[in-house]
Amino acid sequence: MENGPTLAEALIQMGKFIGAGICMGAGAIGPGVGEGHVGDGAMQAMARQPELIGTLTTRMLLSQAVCETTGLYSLLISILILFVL
Amino acid sequence: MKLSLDRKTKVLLVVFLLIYIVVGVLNAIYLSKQSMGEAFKNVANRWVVKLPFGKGIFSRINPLTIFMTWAVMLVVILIAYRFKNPKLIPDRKQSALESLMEFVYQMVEDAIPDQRFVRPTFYIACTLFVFIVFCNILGGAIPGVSIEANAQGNIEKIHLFSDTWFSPTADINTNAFLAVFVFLISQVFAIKSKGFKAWAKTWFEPIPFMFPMNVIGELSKPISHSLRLFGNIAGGALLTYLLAYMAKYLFLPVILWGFFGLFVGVIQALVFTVLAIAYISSALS
Amino acid sequence: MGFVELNLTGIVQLLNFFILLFALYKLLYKPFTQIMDKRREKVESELAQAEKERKAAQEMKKEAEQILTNARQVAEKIVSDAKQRSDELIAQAKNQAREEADRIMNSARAEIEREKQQALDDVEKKAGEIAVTLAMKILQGVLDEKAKREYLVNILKKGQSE
Repeated sequence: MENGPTLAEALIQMGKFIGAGICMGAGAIGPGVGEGHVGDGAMQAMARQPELIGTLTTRMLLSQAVCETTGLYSLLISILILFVL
Repeated sequence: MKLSLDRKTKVLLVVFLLIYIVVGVLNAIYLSKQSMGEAFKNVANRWVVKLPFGKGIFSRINPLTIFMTWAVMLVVILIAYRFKNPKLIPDRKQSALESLMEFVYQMVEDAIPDQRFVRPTFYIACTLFVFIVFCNILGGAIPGVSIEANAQGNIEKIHLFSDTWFSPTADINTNAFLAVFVFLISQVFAIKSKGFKAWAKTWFEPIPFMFPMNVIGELSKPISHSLRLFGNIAGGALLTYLLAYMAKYLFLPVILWGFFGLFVGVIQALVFTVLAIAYISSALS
Repeated sequence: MGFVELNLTGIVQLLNFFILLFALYKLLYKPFTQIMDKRREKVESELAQAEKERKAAQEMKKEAEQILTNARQVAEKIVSDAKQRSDELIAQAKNQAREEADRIMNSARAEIEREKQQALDDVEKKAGEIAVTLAMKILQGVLDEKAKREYLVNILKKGQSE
């Protein structure tokens, strides 16, 4: 016990891991649902107007990339929690 | 797609691939011995140099970001120099470049309501796109030298081909200042387009009470703008590093992941450009 | 805090970006926008040229159509003239033929008449001769005066009634 981490350090470490896990996991829900919605709308539009598939795909990827931002924020926060703080 | 390479390029490619495989095997032998904690200890640190002049954060600089930026600039300017004198009837490479510029120009022209600012916005947007695309591809798909620094910002180790190149857009400084630049230029364009009074009035719309909301809404734009790109590229680089570690630094998974990095990099560069155009156009309208 | 530290790098990056913007403006955007403008001008001028040529062609086509209609009219006139002419000719020929036929018929009738007359004359002459010879014979024969006369008269009557 003399060379190992103290209880406080272990608790901090545990809190970091739990916090990072929850942050990433919860933060992935929103973007997932949002991107699903975007894909759903794009698919319906494509089925309705197949001649616009090229434009729709570009726009879909664009809006999905924007939707993904919140997920990336949580990824950043997780990285910060794990490696920086 | 058909690639036609001359002999010199083929030899160069083969030599590069051989070096790459040898270094990959060496990495696999020596680097994979380190534990995961050891490998990821310095993953969130950057190489920081303290300059003799200045004080506080203004004396600190990230040399790797700047070197990589210069490399990207050099590549872009060399490519641009090849097409210094465009022909009236384009060949294949020129028409590819032209179609790229036409694409950006079309977006700008559709979005910007004021005809005077179409050209300047196009210059800014196209430069942003080209710069960020090259940075992202460099950081997402191409293995290279990576520098490991400790928490104080001093160099600890230099690895060859164990990670992708460090992308300038994986540094928050680049993204933040580019986003702030876009924000400022949109306000400058707005002042020029509407006049100072009308521009100042837009902050108090629809009612004067909404002024703080407007300020927060405007200020959140560059923050989300910069953090989006930063998160994507830095997170992607971290994931690539993780994948490289898990594949014991052998080369193939990084190449496979590289396609994903390429995709994400191009999409994010496009998103950054489109959002820059959208911010400028929303400030103008 | 190396990961999200804002420091002097950003300003250097901004300067780098301005350099890149300037270089690309000099090397890429200016010539390309120029060449695009030139190309657009060329396309527009060529379009105008094509429009002009199209108009000229249309005019020429109109002219040709005019000429064609004229020619058609002339041809129609010629054909109708020829038809009229041929009708006239046919009518003329018919008339001529009828006249000829009439003439031939008339002459034939006249001939027949004349022949008949001649035949009658011949018959009369012959009858006279016959009568004279008969008379001579009878006179030379056994018949008396009276019988001779009666006979003669009978013959003559017969000849007249024929």
